Amino acid sequence: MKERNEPGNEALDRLGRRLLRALEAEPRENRASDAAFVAGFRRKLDEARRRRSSLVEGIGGWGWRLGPMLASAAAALAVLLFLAPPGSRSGDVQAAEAPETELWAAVSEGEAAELTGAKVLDAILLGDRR
Amino acid sequence: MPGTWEDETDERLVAAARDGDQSAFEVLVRRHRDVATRVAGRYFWDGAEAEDVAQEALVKAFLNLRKLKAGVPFRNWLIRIATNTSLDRLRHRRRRPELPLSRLGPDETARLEHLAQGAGEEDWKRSLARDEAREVLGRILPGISPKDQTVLYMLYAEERSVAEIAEILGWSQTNVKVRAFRARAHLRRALKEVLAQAGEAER
Repeated sequence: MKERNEPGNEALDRLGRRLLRALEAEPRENRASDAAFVAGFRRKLDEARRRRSSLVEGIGGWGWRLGPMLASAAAALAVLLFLAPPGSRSGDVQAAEAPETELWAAVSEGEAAELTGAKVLDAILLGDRR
Repeated sequence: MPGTWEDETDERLVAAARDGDQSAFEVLVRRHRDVATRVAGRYFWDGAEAEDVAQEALVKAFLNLRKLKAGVPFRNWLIRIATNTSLDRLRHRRRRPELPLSRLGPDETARLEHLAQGAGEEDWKRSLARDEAREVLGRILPGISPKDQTVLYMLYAEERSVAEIAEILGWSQTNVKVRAFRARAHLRRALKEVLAQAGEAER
């Protein structure tokens, strides 16, 4: 029986390296000519451009439809909010707006025109006293 | 005119192509098609399919030319794109079926053993053709993940450093090291198995 030497890691690495290099070194069979390869490249480029433009058109089409729809929805919402009776609003909103309403009620029209930060405080105090 | 671009550097051609000159880019296509095909050929052994992937990678390169950072060689960038294009296509299909190592013929295994014992480069050229390398690796590589194979090829066939591979592929060096370790361990185990079979065949 023939005696064999167990190959070490170095030998195995060397073999692996040679196999991989051999696989890559040789020219591939059925290599297309440069002209045929470039023609294939152009065809794929055209396809990619067509896909891109149809995608952009698709998004653009949706944009045209979505734009007016969103504008209509926003207008409808604004009208609804304007027409909504005060009692239908939430209690928090009413509470937050209440002091401001009282403030403006507390000052005359002429005073309101001249309101500054300091005068607002005065007006509040004045309103409290009324 | 296409003819006037032939002697230009890659950098000049990239700049012209960025400005919309497709003929300048087609010079790059002709110049680097083999690199892209070689990279794709690691995953797709059918020559026509490898070229198809290479063309797809070149189209991606052309359409994304503005993303090529200054100072990065076009060739390295293309290697990255060709690798990613190949990996993407592989994800969409089943991997090559793995053939059992026991199906290697006695001649092939004996030759492999001879090589592992340190046969010279000339001897190698005479004794093992590309088809035989394909035969052996066709049984071993399917057991290695495509990304690990990428690292293995770049380390062994291209003799690149870990840092270079990480830079080209946009992976971390740790990622490359882990993949290299795993791929090399698998390759050693599989080759050892092949050689053991060669020994058994001789008895």
